[in-house]
Amino acid sequence: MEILKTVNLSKIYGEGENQVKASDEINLSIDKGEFVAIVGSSGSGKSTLLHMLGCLDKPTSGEIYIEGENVASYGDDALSVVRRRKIGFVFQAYNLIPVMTVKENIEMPVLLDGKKPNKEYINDLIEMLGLTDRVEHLPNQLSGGQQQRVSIARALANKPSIILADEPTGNLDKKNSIEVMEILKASAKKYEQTLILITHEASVANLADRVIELSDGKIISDSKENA
Amino acid sequence: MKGYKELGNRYLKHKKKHAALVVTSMVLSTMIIYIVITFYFGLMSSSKKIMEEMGNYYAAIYKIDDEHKDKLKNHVGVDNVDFANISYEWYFEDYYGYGLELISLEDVNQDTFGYELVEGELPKNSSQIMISNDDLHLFKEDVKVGSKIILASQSEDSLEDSDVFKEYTVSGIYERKYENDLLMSTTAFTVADDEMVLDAYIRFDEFKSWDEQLENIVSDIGIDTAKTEYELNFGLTSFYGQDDDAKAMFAMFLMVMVFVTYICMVMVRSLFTSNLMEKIRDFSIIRAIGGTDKQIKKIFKREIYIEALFAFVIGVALSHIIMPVLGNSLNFFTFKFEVSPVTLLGAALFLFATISLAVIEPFAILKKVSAVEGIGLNFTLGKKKIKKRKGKFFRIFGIEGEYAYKNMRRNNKAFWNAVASFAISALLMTFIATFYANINKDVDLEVSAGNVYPYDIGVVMYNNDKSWSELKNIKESFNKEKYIIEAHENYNYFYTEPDVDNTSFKFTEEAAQLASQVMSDFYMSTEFVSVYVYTDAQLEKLNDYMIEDVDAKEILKDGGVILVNRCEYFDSNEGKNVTITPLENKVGERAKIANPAFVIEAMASDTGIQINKALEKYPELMTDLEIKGTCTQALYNVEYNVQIIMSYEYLNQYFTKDEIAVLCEGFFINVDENNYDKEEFDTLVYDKLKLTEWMYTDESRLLMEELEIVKVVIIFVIVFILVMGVINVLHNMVSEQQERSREIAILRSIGMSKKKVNKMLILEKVIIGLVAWLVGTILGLILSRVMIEPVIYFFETSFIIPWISYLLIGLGLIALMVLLSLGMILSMGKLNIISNIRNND
Repeated sequence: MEILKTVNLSKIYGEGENQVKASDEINLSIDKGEFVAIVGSSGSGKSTLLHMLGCLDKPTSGEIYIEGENVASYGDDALSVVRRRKIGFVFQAYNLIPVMTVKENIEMPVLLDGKKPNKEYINDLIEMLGLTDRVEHLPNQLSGGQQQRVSIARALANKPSIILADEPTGNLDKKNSIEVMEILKASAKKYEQTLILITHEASVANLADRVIELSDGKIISDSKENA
Repeated sequence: MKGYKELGNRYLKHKKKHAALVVTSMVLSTMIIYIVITFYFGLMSSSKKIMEEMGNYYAAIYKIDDEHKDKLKNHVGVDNVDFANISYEWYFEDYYGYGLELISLEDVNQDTFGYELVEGELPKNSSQIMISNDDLHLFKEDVKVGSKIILASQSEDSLEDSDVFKEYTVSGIYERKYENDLLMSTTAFTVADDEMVLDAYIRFDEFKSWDEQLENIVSDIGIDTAKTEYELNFGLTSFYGQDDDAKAMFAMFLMVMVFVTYICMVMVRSLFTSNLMEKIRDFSIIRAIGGTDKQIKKIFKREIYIEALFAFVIGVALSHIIMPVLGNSLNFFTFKFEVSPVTLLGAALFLFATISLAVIEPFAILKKVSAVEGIGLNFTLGKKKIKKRKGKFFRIFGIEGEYAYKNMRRNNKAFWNAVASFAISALLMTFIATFYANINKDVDLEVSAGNVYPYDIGVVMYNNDKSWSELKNIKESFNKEKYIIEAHENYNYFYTEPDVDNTSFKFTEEAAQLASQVMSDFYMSTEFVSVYVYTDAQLEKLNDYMIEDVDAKEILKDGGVILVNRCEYFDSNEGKNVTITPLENKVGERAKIANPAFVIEAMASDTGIQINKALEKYPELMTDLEIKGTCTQALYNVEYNVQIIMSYEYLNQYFTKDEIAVLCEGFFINVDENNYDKEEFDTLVYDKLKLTEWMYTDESRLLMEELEIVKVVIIFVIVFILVMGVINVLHNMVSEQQERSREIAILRSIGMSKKKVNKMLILEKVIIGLVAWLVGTILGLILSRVMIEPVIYFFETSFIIPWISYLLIGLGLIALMVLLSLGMILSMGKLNIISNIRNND
């Protein structure tokens, strides 16, 4: 079942001679439960594409369908709702709120949705991610790996259907990288989520079901099509 | 966390220093807003009390007949009218000269006349009177309810010749609720008899345009204005002004509130924007995980309003500590700072408005930055367009000087915003310095010349019949007291000691009228004439003001007078002050004034003794006085009437000391402030010296206290301005530091030394400080000139510009900028070049 689709998706920065096509008419379809890795050299448009898929950035043209809805034309508030209910975003730099504890950072998307956090579920997440001893710590009291796990837990808090991860292991050492990838894969499988991530690392890409390669804003290869 | 808005609380908990500074700025804002609002409402409330004290009526129509009385009562626009006759009756108990004012009322009305019955009952007929308990001591015998007293009616001649006596029975004793225009110092009430012609005291429906209302009423009811006099209550009109003045006052209040709100808003806004970078990142994360703009705003506001609540409570509490120092010591009218729901609500609303306005810009900035930009800190605040600037002039400070100028001017809006925030401080300080310099100078002139109060306390004795030796004993008794530095005879009247520095005396009103009639040979008559009697030493000083090139002492040694070449008086027909300048060629003309001797006699009695009698007593003193010279002003007591100066030496020929002693009606006392005790002084005067008919004034002390309060207010305002400015700048610098750390890292990476970087940062701030100082000084000077104009006009002095103060303000500002720059440099600490270039956490 298709969960995410783009039609002629483009993102252009600048004007006139200084125009840069970060994404150039990308057509993409991803099914529910797929684990997709997006690879490419620097400046290929990977982050731009991910930001658009995650409704963090608006496309210049084209359409994005998430669970059948064209979100490209949504307003800011509607996009916010999509972001917190349907998408969980994991950043390379973790991006936790420094003044909130681990537990509060995790619960934040739920609270923003006006709901009461499901304590059992949250505790499950915390346990799964090995953060039980750190729930009342602030981000600056955690290691990089721990912070990334909190970021993952936060992304999963609202049980989104899609998880987007922008180089989730980029700032981690090998050991933590492996651990984080295992967690991501496991939780995606457990909660039947679609996982789309950007990576530079071949070892990470190899874990994915599907690898899409970008260059100059275009898809130059897609392992699904090649198969 | 119970909800996402609690993130706002969390910022308070984790960013205590920043929160403390924000709260401090809000506390200062609250204080100034609250004090201004409370002052305004207190003023309005005090005004009502003052209104009562000035007589609770707006206008009076004198000697109104029955026909017009009824029309007046029923006239539209008349809210209330009381009818009364005020005449003068006098004791007759060998106490002649002491007046009792008798008010005869149709119905004895408390609201207009402000009294409260404490014993007995109101008079029921015209043979009964009700006396104030303050006046009972004036009678030789004990007066109480039921006592009979005989009063002599004052005729146009003298009490001595009065053959109209009336016996009154005291029906009641009353207490004055307040001193007002209608209740003179000695007042008794009685009921009007049928034949009495009464005056009408009117209150209108509308509290404005009184003169217009009065004219309309007088015209409507058909009063013959040629025969019947009428007038407004000038006490009230001069206090309230007409409705334009009331509107002007309210407009001024609003203007002050707008100005205050703006200053507070700027300060609060700058503090919010100071940690904006951090907030942008956090809020971008919130946006990325699904927070809407509205939710982010709520988090933002939660933090702000908690801070505001703390600030409001602390600010109001601190205001109530400061307000008694400022307000209750302001003695120009009765004033009390009171807590009221209105003032609290008003202050809360203004604070709310200030904060709401203050957060508009920071939040607008937040909205402009997208989630992606915000998370990566990949944005710049303000305009992205950078203007090319030259700045070659600043090369005198080296390349860092030129670069400092370019940095400052690259964002015009930010540059002028920074200049404006300091320029406001410079403007206010310039205004205050100029205002203070001019007021201080003028007051100093007046006080040092003895023109205001050359004494601390005045003891004026009424109906004095004490001998010279008795007066001397009184003076010595004063001088023996440890807290009295000096007691000297009333300078308003004739001096006995030639070495005392102040001499002058006045005519009584009747004598002055006669004198002025005679003087009217030269110019318009005035209400009274002042005669100054100067010693030789004083005449020498007068030479500084002589118009002719003559020696004052020399020309007066054989008699004659010097005429003060200016007089001003209030012309009741014109309804305004009139200034007349006698022509300089009056020299050589003769001033036909009555001899001072009769004046002295008349003053001693204060009853207006027949002038002819005095002239009979001293025929040899009837002198035509030749005007021997003219001067621009008298040395002391510059009064607004006709003034002539005589020589003490010459006049001394006509009077013995004993005769002069009779004239002395009081003492002026200079006290030792450290030892002065009012209770001791009162005991001395009343109990020990048995001066039962006296009053004392302490205006000098009050004036000095008021001046001290003005100084306190000025210092408070200056401190407030400076604190606000420092907080403002400090936080601007902190936020700037966060923005510029990357730029500075790049400069360092290409070889700029730390020393040069610091020099550049300091120069940037100094440039802003200099421009702000120039702008603020010019605007402050203009504002001062406009606002101080009435003061200069009043004191007839010139506008002075305290250049040294301005320079000091400028130096102070620049020093402050340097200090704050150094603070910023220190807080930047060791810069990690690589991490800042990469802009990593």
